[in-house]
Amino acid sequence: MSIDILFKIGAIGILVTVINQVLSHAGKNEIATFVTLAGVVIVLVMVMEMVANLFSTVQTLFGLF
Amino acid sequence: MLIKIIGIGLATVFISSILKSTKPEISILINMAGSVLILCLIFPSLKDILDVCLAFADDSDLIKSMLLPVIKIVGVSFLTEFVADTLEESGNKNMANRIVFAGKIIILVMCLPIIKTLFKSLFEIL
Repeated sequence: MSIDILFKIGAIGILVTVINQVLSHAGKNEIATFVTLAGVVIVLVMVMEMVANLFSTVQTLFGLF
Repeated sequence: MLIKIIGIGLATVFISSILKSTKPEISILINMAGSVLILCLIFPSLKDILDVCLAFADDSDLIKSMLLPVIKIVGVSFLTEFVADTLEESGNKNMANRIVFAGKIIILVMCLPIIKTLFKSLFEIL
């Protein structure tokens, strides 16, 4: 795990915003919604992996459960 | 190490403030990722501290039986605080309060053996 994941998520966010605006101007609002949804899901998967990693670290460190 | 953590904190705040106006849901996730990164960086040092505490307690069985629940409680409070802060930051104060409440109850349940021992020894004295 390193700092590039932050920049990756930021890049995904900016990319999704730009694609969203282009699609909205072209009148394809329903596809823009799906692009937003896909971006959020991709970022969510990345972050959830990290959070699961953190939780397992805490479990082993403090001898929980 | 400190410089790295400061850099991660600043980068998180900058990136999330860029995205806050257009995509608030992704900015919440960036904040979460940043805090996970900082916690994962600091955990090896925390492990050293806990190892020293456990080495002190190694020769006494009583201290060890008291120290292990305390360490567990610190872990529970770590997780509760992390999740509650994340939720509160994303504007869901209600859910954050519920999670803090649940964490308090779990900590109290973990304390019960210690409280029981305390009262037992108290009644033996009286």
